[in-house]
Amino acid sequence: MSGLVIRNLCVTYGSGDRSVPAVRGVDVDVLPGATVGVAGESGCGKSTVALAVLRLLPRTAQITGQLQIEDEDVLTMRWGRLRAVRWAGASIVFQGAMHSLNPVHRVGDQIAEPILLHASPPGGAGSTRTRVDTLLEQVGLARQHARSYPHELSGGQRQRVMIAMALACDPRIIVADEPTTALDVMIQAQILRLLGRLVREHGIGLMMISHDLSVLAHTCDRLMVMYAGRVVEEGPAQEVFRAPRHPYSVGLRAAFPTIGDPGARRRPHGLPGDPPDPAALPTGCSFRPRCDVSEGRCATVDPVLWPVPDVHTGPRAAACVRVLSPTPEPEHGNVVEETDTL
Amino acid sequence: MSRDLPARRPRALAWQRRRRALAEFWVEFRANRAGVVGLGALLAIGLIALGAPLLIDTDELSVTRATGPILDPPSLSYPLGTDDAGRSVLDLVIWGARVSLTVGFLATLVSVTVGSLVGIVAGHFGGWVANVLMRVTDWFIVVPMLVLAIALAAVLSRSTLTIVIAIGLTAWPPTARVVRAQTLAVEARPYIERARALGAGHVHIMTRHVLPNVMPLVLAQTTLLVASAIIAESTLAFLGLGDPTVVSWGGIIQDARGAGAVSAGLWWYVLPPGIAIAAVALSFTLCGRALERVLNPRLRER
Amino acid sequence: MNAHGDTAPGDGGSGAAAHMVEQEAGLRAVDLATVFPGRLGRPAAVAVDRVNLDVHTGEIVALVGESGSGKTTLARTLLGLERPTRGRVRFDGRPLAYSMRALRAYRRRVQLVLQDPTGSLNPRHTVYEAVAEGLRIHYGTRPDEQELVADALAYAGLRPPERMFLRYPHELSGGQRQRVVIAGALVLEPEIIVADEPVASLDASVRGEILALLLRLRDELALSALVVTHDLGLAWNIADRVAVMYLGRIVEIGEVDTVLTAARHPYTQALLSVLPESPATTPTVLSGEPPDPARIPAGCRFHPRCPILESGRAERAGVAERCRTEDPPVLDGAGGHQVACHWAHAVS
Repeated sequence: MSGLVIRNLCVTYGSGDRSVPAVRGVDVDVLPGATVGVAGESGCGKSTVALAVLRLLPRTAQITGQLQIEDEDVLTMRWGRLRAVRWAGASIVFQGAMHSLNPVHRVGDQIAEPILLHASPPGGAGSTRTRVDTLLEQVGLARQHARSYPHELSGGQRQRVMIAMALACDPRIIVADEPTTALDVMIQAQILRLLGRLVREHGIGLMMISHDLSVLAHTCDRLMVMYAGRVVEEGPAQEVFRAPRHPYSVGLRAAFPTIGDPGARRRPHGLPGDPPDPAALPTGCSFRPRCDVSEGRCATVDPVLWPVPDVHTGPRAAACVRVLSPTPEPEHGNVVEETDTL
Repeated sequence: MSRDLPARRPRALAWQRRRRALAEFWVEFRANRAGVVGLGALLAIGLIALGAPLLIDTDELSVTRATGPILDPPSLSYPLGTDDAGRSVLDLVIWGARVSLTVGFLATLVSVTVGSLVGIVAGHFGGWVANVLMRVTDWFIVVPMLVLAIALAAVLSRSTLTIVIAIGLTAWPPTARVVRAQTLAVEARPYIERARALGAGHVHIMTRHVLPNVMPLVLAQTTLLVASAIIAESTLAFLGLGDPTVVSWGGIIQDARGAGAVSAGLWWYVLPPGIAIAAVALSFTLCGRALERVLNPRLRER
Repeated sequence: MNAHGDTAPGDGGSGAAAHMVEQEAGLRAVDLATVFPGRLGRPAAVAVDRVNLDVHTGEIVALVGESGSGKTTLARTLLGLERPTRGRVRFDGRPLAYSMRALRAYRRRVQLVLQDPTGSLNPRHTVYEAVAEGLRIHYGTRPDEQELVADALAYAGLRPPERMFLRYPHELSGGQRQRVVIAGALVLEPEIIVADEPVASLDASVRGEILALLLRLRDELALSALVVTHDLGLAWNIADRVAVMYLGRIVEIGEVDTVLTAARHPYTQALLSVLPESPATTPTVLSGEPPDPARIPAGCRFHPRCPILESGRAERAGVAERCRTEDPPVLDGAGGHQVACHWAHAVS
């Protein structure tokens, strides 16, 4: 199987008594030309998964499980090979385009850097410049922008430059970590449209990470919702978004209202409480303390991903005991409103 | 977290918080071995300087009333030998610590106060205020300290106070620059905007927000400044600009030079005050670096 | 091209009338302009260009726009943090004075909540100090300070408040920090809160909670709020009225229910169409970046990016020439659904 294959990925920071499990067993498949969205709050482990794909985690992190890019195991790979894979096999687009670009180098030189390091084009400097021009054109920037410095560009333009860099060595996989978070709606729409086009045209596998479920639902084929280091729900993006089955997905879904929906008018929805401390997870289901439909068994059963039995267009699963054996209750998926306690 | 808080008043809360912060600070500081060594040495030197009147009979320090042999090498009764007036060099070095430390601290106090004030005011107000203040700072940076000190000594009397003023007036510009840079960084933070929107005036912002954030830097700067102030005092005393009636380390070395100790190979007369100056300066520097490391999280990670 | 843009709705003024009160609105921007002088020979940047906006008592107004639209400058000018170059800020029936004393008194009654709760708390101050700061600025140390701080924290949803007193900002989650900032504003019992992107840096799950808190403040304390945001969903969630800002000018204003379901300005329509959940079949993605406030286009300031003009529909309505040459009249910002667009007026 080509593309990106992640099996039972576990990442633990630190060791011994002070070890903190950031990712606790995650499976992801990103096929060429497909887009997989990973949603969740900060601290749920979604960015750790992104960094693990390219082995960019700090040395204190212990990684177990399987992680393959184009049938090559990334975790056991030699250093030299890993360097090659980092741009040509898979590349990453970070959130803060301002901080990821070097302020003292021209944008064109920064795009050329991975090309010179990895692809060593036959034509030398001239062909590299042509390649940079092509890349800028692909991401919708004028050729002259190659001579600009990062501070001369707007936020959206810088994010385009980041995407051009990610494309530089024709990677098979692109990991985009919150690519549009700091951008305005209009620029966000432009960037999402661009990413979608590139995936289609180049047959790239895209793993997109965001806290905004609605953005993912409309740009991805499949959607995974992560909570406390695990995937708690996955399935076809539109279906998960329209009818989420895990109470946490329901909460995330309701956090971003649909304009025109009378149910959300003057009624903001949120989840009570804060994400759990990964060093001190509650027993049973880790979402239990914030869940408004939790039951007695939730304190003892730590649910795994379980196939959702309803009709759907692709495999669906959710890690909730109510999916496994629904409790008879007429109302399902109601979101708790603002509660007074934290 | 704390338990019986509701009964406490804000003042008690503030104290409890301060105690906790201090304890945390101590734990961090203790982890830095060089800093602990420096601090230990400073405490020891400080105690000796404070206790000097108990250890030494002041008559023994008088040129006219000293009883020892003249220019005697180290012996049991005079562990560091004697000088050309028959005084014990050990006694002189111990007594000299009092003046050197006093001048060091006072001069530092003057320069840090002036430097912080100028830095914070220039950083907070900006505009022409900053322009004027920073030009004055630049002017003081290029004024050579020795020349100014000699000029001051000529105008004022040759006293310890003159030396303090001379050092204090020339040592503040670097502090002012550092504090101004830090003030600018703090002023750009959103909590300054929030305080302003809450109705805070200039004084409130400078004392409640800027000062606490600048203090750690100033503190580290202070310990480093003390070291250079002590060296500066020794230099001035060595050049004969100090008060001739008080014993200081620089003064001892000057006396030794006058007595021809260097050419005569009277090492016990020259080396001890020199080593004392180096030891104190080193201790302060070690402490200062440790403080910097503890108080500046960016350095702590390395 | 634009699914729901063709049907120009009737005037939404009837709903807004309910909010119109006899006396003058709480906080008003009257013909307000804020210009930043250009540096190094560059032209001056007109961040806010003749804005009229009323925030009535007990009303939440959302000010929506892209970055560079001048929405944050408008908020800062309303708070007296910037001085307007034209027009004035009026509060409680009187123009805002800019003496130290007058500003201090004003800032007890109008409070600011910033976007980044982490940055808006001094890392060296405890929660108690952060919340008590406003009290100490305006009243010195009061004997009932501790009760007031505890009440404000509890109201902002941090309970029990006593357990929060000694915490430092870095020990709190993002949502808790924003609650501390809100408590610090509430403790002065303000009449209006100006919130600049209050939830933009918070997690999705916390977002709803903070918005619900703002809504509760309006319902229970009759607190008015001006919420500056780029998020139209936020406006739908909590606001009564919404003002859409483009290049320093309000281009559309009115009740949330009318503006967001039947937008009349092509810019508002485009903003709505690119939302992931938009009912529009084809999103109108405007090309390019929001233009420079130092070079505001002649005519209608939106005309270089206007999809209506580009598609020739403005031509058909006979207003294309006016779009290019004539600046639409400034909206008065009081109530009712208003739009600054030649085309919208021509087709309605």
